[in-house]
Amino acid sequence: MEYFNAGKYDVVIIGAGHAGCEAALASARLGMKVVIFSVNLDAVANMPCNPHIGGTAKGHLVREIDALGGEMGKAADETYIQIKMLNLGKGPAVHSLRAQIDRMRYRERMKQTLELQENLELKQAEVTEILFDGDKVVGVKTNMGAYYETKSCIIATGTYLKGKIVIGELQYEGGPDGMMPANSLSKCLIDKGIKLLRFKTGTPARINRRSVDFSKMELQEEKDPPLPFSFETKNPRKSEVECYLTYTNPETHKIIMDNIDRAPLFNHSIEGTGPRYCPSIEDKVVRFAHKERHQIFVEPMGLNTEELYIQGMSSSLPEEVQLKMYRTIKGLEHAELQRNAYAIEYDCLDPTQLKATLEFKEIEGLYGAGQFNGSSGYEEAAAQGLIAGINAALKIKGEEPFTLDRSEAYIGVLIDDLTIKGTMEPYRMLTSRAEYRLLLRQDNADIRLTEKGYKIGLISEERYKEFLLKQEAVNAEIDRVEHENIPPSAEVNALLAEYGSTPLTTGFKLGELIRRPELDYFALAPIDKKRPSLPYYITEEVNVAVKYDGYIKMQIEQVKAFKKLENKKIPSDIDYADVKGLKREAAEKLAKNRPENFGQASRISGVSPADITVLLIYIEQMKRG
Amino acid sequence: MRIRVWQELTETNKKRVVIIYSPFLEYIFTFLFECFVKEKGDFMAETIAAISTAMQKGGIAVIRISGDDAFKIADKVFKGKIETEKCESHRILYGFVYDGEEKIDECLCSVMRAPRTFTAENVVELSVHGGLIPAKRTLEAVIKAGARAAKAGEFTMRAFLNGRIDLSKAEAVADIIDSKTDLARSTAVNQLSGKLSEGINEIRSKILEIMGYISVSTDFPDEDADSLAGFDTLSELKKLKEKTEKLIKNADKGIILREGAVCAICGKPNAGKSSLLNELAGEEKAIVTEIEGTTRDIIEEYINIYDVPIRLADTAGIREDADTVEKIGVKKARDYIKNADICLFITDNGREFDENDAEILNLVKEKPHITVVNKSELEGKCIIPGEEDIIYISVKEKTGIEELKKKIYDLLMGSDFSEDAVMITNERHKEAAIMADSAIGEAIKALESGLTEDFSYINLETAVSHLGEITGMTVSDEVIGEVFSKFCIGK
Repeated sequence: MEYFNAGKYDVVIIGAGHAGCEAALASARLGMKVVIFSVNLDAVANMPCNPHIGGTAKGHLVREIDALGGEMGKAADETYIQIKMLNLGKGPAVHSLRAQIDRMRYRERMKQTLELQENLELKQAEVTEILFDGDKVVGVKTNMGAYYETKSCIIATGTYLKGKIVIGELQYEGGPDGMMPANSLSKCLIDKGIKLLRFKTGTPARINRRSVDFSKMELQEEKDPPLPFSFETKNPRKSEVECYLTYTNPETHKIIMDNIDRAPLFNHSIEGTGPRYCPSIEDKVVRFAHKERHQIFVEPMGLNTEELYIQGMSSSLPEEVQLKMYRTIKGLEHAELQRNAYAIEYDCLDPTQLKATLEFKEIEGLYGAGQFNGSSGYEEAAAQGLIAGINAALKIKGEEPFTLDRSEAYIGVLIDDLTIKGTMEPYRMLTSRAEYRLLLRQDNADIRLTEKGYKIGLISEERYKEFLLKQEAVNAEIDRVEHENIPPSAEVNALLAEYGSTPLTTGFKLGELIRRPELDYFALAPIDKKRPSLPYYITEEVNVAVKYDGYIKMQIEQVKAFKKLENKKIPSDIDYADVKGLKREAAEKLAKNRPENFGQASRISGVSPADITVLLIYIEQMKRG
Repeated sequence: MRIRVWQELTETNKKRVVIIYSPFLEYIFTFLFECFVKEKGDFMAETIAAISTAMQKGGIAVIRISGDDAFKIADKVFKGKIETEKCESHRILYGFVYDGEEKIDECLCSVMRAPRTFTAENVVELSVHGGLIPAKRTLEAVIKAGARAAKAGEFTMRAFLNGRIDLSKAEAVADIIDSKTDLARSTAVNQLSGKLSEGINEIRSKILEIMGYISVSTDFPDEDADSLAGFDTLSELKKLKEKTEKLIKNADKGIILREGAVCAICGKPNAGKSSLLNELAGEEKAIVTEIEGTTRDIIEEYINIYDVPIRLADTAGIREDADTVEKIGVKKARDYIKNADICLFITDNGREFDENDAEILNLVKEKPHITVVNKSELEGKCIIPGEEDIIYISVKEKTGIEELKKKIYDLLMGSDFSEDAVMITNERHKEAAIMADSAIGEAIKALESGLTEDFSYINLETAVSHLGEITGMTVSDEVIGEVFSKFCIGK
């Protein structure tokens, strides 16, 4: 094929899903000339699976993206049709926002944002080849016969790379939601010596609302949270829709078991590794045979559609079996399936080939982001897209790279896990993956990251000033609360009695009272006479900071210990074969992974404390010459 | 020079980098350091050999060879029906050991192929007749054939570096080599066979299980309540705490078995302290005279009481009206009591219990102690007010000594002590266990004070990482594995 030169760019982005969109916007906003490709422009920022944004730990990611100047939080706030705070009955570390999104509106909103962005071109084409000069990216070619010269390239292909759809015995090459797959790019990556993995994921059926009997299901009552995702959204909208809960039953399970030999997962016609946290219904029924029922959530896909998402019933059984199976469920007896459940297999990257900036260790200017990096989830993808987009721009501008570590953000945990530990299944963010989760709360994402976003250049002057004011107000109120004396009085003791709290006989600092388990900042409002009137986003911070002071201090100490190893660098030219006494497995893993510091080295599986000790001596020795 | 750098390195280790301290790692440290300093070749690639049995007369002696070339080297010195190189793994061959043409000894040769060996390398063990000469000559022949003489502990180090044993096991090997008595050795053997690791891992997996439950309910809030039903985090945590407490309680005993206990014998001059020490030690060590205050210095003796190693100290008699030299002895005695694990207060039946005795008894009472009345053959003049549990002995007539030994043993080890118990035998492990125990305590406190489970989770993470310091295991994604294996989760 003859190629024509379609122009010179700073950053080329392959794929316009959640990772690609954030990457493109970040690079373009930092002044780069950017072009972003999608095989179909109607699939920009698509949600081919659940119509949610947020959820446990994912809600944290969205807020962090927002604090760094990303787009996802704002777009979600504008298009959600229901929003709630998960885990309200638990500690502040695990509170997470989750929103039901109008899928079509979200796509339109994000697509238009790309279209309106200066320096950014959105194009419909399949990138078939990346071109290199030695170990440096120089351009990409598309299936249209165009050649784009570029300084860097971000691969954000999601589940499109050699995508294969599996529904029972039916298998065909395809991307998500009926899109075309991207079949050419894998070969070019493999030829370049890049190691790819094959993962699998799946989605349940979509059912027409008219065919559903909600009277047989349980209504999920939700309360609107006081604040939405973005720290910029001033007036959150109300939830507009409701979700329902129903259950599978023995009849459902019988149909599945009777047809289990037709399930690709069990007759081994699927080779990809699926995520453990997102098993198909057939997987659940087989592995947890003792369970009599499984929960099924029925959720609307948007305001201008009758399609409903059936959470809990992803499957790759044949259509015939799916129909029977869904119709055993209470309320779904007459279900009309608009889209079948399916499994999709795709090529993705072994992410240990990436640096913390998401640039390939061995290839200059090439970055990976999103599901291509072995993750799963829109939020995980967006977070990586943002980091890759920022770093592509910073590198071209000749500035210091931007990375986050495990003590700074969930994004740091996500990228560290992927690039250091690697993953054997589509990786999902969980609060239990973050060691310092009491410091990495969703409520303080702005306090942790706004400054960084401002320095990078993605947070406006106006927002930064507003943030500084907030921080000042929080600190002033914490200070007041810690010094405010509450003398014993009938009124005070009556309030304490109401909460089952020990009455006062001498004066107490307000902070001390807030720290009592049965009380908090809000409960003490009636007796705190000098309390200034403050908005919730300030009082929330004050409450958490004062009330959980002990645990927060403990975690700060843990972070200090963590930073010591993290700050101890390993020279990049170290030859692990030369380090005597290192276990062979450890030497191989270290040589492959090339950690930048001892903290990373200690997290590589197969590297033991003894290996770290050996390495420490070796490096001390090297320093001494 | 070496020591200075070593100190700096350990400083590095302690301060700048959080790496667990362990005498064994310290050993590896020193060893490796020497290798680097002396620019030696790849020491792990060399085949090493040593006499692995004690250097004394015995029934047999074993020469162990370990490394890639173990078989090649063994075949140069051992001639049997087949060559070791061609022999199946874990077989014993009969034959003779030669030094060149000269036949040294009859020999049984054990062939063990990597990785199922002590060092995870190829290993040959040559069992020859006991006595130093055959063993030494065999070793010489093996070295001539190409092996290098192993340094002390090098086999264990290889086993550790090759990932064959974890830290607690490696330390147990060192314990076995150093063990002072049979009981100490069998405890160390228990630890080597992984009893400690097993015990710790049992606690560890219990914590991970609890963490799994907490994690499910926080990370998957939509999850069915029924899959969490019947799990009471608080009572599970309390059960867990009992286990860690027991571990710590046994730790003192384990450390006593390994390092020995210090027992101070206190009493007025000439009460029979030195003779009792001699009686327990079984040889004349202290100068025994009829003159009060003969013992002016502390006399120590290592003894075994029912296999518990004890450092027995004969303190100078504590007397207020002592001469100068003796006063120094008295001060030393007071210091000694402070450092002792237990004390024996001794007086004799030949005289009345006086103020001076009472004063000494008061000092001794700060410690676990046994009150002993010597010279039980005499008519009882000695009445000790407030002391009910008194042991009467006669060193002269050798009565009551066994009873006293039993009492010492019980005081140190407890009467319900069993050598099968999971036991911590060193201070580093104990420290880690205490930290883990207190973190679990904090988790319980958090729940009881009304905080939600996710706070306890933070404490449990801390507990797991402390336990990892004992076995060398680090926290990884195990909780998440726990969640997915036990709970049915997903969209």
